[in-house]
Formats: sequence, structure tokens, C-alpha cells
Amino acid sequence: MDGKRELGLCAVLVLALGCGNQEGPSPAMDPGAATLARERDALLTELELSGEDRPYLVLDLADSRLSFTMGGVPLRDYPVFDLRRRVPRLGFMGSDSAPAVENTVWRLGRVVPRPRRKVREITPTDPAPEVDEATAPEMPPLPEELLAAPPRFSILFDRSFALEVRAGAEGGTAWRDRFEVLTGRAAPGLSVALSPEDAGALYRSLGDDIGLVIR
Amino acid sequence: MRVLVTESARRVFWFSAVGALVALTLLFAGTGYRRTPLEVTDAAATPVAQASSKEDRDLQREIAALEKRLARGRQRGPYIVIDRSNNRLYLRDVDGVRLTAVCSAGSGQLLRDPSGDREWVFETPIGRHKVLSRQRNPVWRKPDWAFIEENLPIPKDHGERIEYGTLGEYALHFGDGYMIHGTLYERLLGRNVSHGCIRLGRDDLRKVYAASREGTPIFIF
Repeated sequence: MDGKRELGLCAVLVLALGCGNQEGPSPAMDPGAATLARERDALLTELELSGEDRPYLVLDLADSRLSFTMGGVPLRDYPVFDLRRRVPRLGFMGSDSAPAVENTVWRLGRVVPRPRRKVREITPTDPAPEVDEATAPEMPPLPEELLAAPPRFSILFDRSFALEVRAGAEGGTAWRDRFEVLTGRAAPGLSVALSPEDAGALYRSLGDDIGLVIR
Repeated sequence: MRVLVTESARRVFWFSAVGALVALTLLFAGTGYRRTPLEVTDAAATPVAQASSKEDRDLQREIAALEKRLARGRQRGPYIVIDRSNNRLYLRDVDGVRLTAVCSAGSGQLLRDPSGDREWVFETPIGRHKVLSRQRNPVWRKPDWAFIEENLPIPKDHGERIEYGTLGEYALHFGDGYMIHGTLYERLLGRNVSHGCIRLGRDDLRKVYAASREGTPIFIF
């Protein structure tokens, strides 16, 4: 009996301490101010990105356009003809609610699957005899022959966000989706469909540590 | 008694097996991604709400100032964009693309000097550059790698390095020996075959030369 009373007192004490340690309810931020604050933070990060001497991506949701940009200057545009929110689900379970994506900036993205570029070494050879255009030696490969783009690839930002790029309306298979989710490689994010030519060109242009601005 | 336990155990086993199979099937079938259309708010159509507090007004002022800073970096005049991975050159301005040209960018290949420690990687450099000088009828002063590549001795006489006509009618220099210039081999345009420079066809080179000045920005990605 004594033991039970002591146990009860301990429980009350722990509860009291727990309640005491909680901060009082913080004043909820006005949703309008929260949106403005997010827009401000995104602009600050975008200014940082634009100060670097390398390209980053800008996804304009209203214009349905993905652009390679440098210093705030658009370099090449890739029209988006399908834009979807993408949420991983395990056995029909998974939250449908996803954080807001407008006015967000993501950094240090990496491409999956990683483009494999081999550095080829030149073997010095004796100069070829004078040739004209008609008898030029064999043709070197085109960019798409050197590096074929997959039908679907993603830019992963630390497993917390992913931008999936599909070549055409479909791109990829359900089996690949399941494999990614079951092996813990899935991340929520957005899925965009580009034309196959644009998707291939984008894949070949992507390097390491990619930045992404979503407006 | 023993027979009853075995029958019951068998039933439990089969029910469990079927149940597990159904659960695994559901798990598998329901696993993947759910892709749903994204609702996009059209900022132009949505009226801007009156700032309801000092905090909101301060934030809006800050946002306007940041947008102004971002806009300062944008180009108003013509600029050149080179997509080196896809061998495309674009002449752009604030209104969009004025010219799309097929070019040849660096091959990315590696050449080692057999007699020493030097090596060269023939890549076109990424980043922001600008036209430093414009030249008509440029002359190529062949660097050491051009001789090494063809198993030729490096000449001591400067005159032996000079080649006429190889670079086409015009050249736009953008630093460190890199240029936009013409080519004798227009059939190779669209392929990564240069030693880092950008090669253009004759007609496109004329247009790009005419549209650019010293200081015209060049963006390479």
C-alpha cells in the first residue's frame, strides 16, 4: 500500500514538472505574416544563389516553366506541361498534406540516377593527311549518344524534398516507385513533365550541388 | 485429442498465411507515390491584402527591397548563353531568345604531355564571362597541346605556330585563351569536339558578332 502511494506521488510530481516545463502557448503567427516571412526568406536565399558563379534552377509555378538561371538571369527555359505534387505512400498510408512549396529555396541537390560521364584520354597520333569535308574521319558521338537520359530522374535535396522530372507524360514505372519507397529513398516533392528533348537536355546539363528556387 | 489440436492448428496456420498474403499484397500494391495536381495560386489575379499589422508592412517593405536587389542583376541588353552539354548557343535579351545556334563546345578529353608533368582537360569553363575583345579574320597561334596532340615537336620559332583561316571570319575573346570563333568543319557542329573554345557556323557567327560588343555578357552552363 505504501509503495502504491509513493508511486502515485511520483507520478503526480513528474506530471507537475512536465506541465511546468512546457512553455505557455506561443502567440500564433498571423498566417499572412508567416507567408510573407517565407517569401522574404526565399528571396534572401535566392540572392545568395544569384551571387554565386554557377547556375541554379528556377521553377515558376504560375508560368509552368523550369529555367536554368545564373545571377538572376534566365539562360534556358524548359516548358512544363504537367505539374503534380508527389507524396510517398507505404501500403496506402502516407500523409496527403504536404508543406507549401511556393516561395521556397532548396540547395545542394544531387541528381538521381547520377549522370555517368567518363573522362576520355587522347592518345597523340600523327597528323592525318589533308582531308576535305567529304572525307573527314568518323563522326564523334552526339551529346545524347554520349549520355542517354533516363525516362525519369530526380533532384534530391537531403531526403526532405525531391524534384522529379519526367520525360513526357508518363516516364518511369510503378515498380521503380515501390523500390524507392521500400528502400527508404523516397522524398515528398513535386513532379514535372517536360518534353523528352528538354528532359534529356536538362539531365545532361545538371552538375553537383544544384540549387532550386520555387516561385 | 491430439488429432483435434492438429486440425485446429492447421486451420490457424492457413488463415494466418492467407491473411499475411493479403496484407503483403495490399502493402505492395499501395506502395509508391501519389501524384496529385498542384493547385497554384495566380499571384496576379489574387488581390494583395492590406497589411494588417506593422509586422506585415515591414515584411512587405523588406520583400520589395529584396526584389529590387534581385532585379538589378538582370540583363537589359543582349547577352550570350552557351549550353555546353548540348552544344547550343543562344543570343538573348530581356524579351527572350533572338537566335538559337548549333555550336561545338569542349570535348572534356584529357591530354597528357608524354615528356613532362603537364596535362590539359579540354572543357569549356562554366560561369559568367564577357566579351573582352572582338576580332576580324583571327589568326590562330597554336599552343603546345596542339603539337603534342599530333605527335609533333613543339616549335621554337614563333612563326611556326601561326595558322591562318582555321578560326573563321570572326572571334570573340572571353579570357584565358577562350573564344567564340568559326570552324572549317561545320559538319561536326552539335558535337563536343573543341578544345574548350566555342565553334560556330559561318552564318551564325556573323549574326553573333554583329549583335555583340565589348562587355556583352556570356553565360556558360
